[in-house]
Amino acid sequence: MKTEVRVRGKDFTGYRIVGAIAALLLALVFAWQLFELFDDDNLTVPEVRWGAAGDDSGVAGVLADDLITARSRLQDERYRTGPAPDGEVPANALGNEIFLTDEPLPRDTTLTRSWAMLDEDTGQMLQERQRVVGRSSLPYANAELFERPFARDWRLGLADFATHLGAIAIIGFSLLLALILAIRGRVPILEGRAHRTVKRFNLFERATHWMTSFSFIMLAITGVSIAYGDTLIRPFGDELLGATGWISTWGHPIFAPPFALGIVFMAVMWTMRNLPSRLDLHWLSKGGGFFSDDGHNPPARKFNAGQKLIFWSAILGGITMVLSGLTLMFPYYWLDLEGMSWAMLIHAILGVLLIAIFIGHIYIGTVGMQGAFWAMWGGNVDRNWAKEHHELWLAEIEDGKQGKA
Amino acid sequence: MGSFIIGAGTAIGLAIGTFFVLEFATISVIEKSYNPSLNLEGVHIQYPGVERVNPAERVAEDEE
Repeated sequence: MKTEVRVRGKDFTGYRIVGAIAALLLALVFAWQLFELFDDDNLTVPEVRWGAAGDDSGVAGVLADDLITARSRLQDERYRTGPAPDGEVPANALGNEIFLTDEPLPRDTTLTRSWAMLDEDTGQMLQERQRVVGRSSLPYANAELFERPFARDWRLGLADFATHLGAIAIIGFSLLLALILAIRGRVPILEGRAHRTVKRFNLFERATHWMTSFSFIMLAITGVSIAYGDTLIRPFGDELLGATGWISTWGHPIFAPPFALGIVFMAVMWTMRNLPSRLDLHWLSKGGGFFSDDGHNPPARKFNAGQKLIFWSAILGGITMVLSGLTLMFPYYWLDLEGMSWAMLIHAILGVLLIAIFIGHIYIGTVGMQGAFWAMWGGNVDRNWAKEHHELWLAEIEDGKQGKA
Repeated sequence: MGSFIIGAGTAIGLAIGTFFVLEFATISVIEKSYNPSLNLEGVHIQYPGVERVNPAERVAEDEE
């Protein structure tokens, strides 16, 4: 492809300055995240204190054990007999009064049965060899469960691996893109605009794209709010965290159906054109021609290898997210406790990775490349843009038109 | 612009529809299963005594 280069990436000075400022800010956030990763402020190992409040004598465990035993005996006694009708009710006995009423509870009531008898799922949590138990005065068998080693490992995966490395992936990738914008500048239309356009996507394709992308952004915002609310929102107040938590908990699942529908439509519309081909290897080996302004972009059909990777991330990643998300919306319907735990971990890790990938997609479709945005906004692209980035597709279209004429 | 409004509007419409379906389904499942341990708000129906925690009040009611 012989091209007269009229615009270079470095001509976009304004974009490059914005990129540099964004890179500086993201570098600070990235450094903070790295510090968080290595500061020994481990989220996964809970602080356990075993003893009676205020007792530092070193025999706390023994005292606490005696205390709980005595309290259990007292509760049991009061449960059986009820308070004496004429006896004075202690001022602090309100909690016990509610549950330790003098009217005996009917036998086999649902509420007490659900506390005393374990169903299959809770029973699984209390299996021998998979638990660390203590003693509790509560009439609720699960209260004796202190810790499950599997759950501790799972928590390590979720709270440390998924959240920290997820944040690093999102911030790190954004930093990389900001640096590319600052150093390389926008990818230009090398010959300048031709002011002649070519139809690239029809209305249905574009509307499907926007339905899916709008849903994805809503899912990403609410998902990040759920996963990182404690870090990002709590500093502004517990009430705000509560409000955003409520909105996110509802907002996250309700945008799943439009997202899933969009994935299905996109798969039907674009799968055939996104199947891998030999051209993709050539395109990838040249880095898509994005890092130079010499006018030698590798040829591509309607979708180049980079767009194909984005497409398959959306389809395969989207399907996995929808399936694991459905599993979380219907807990224990078709998976047991361990299956649920894996579903949540996969949902969390894949979620942050997809956010990072689609930040890249948004970048290249907007500020990263001159002329790309109009393909999805209005459906038409400048002919020179098409010639530089999708040479074979443009030839296909123009040959088709000539054939028809 | 038109495609964005159609796409985003459809997404919002489907999301609002899903909200009402989920809310309706959640409530009806709890009501149908009639399991008070799923819905502790109905605990007073199972245990009428729970609401009358003040013994003095209870005596007054019994006298009536």
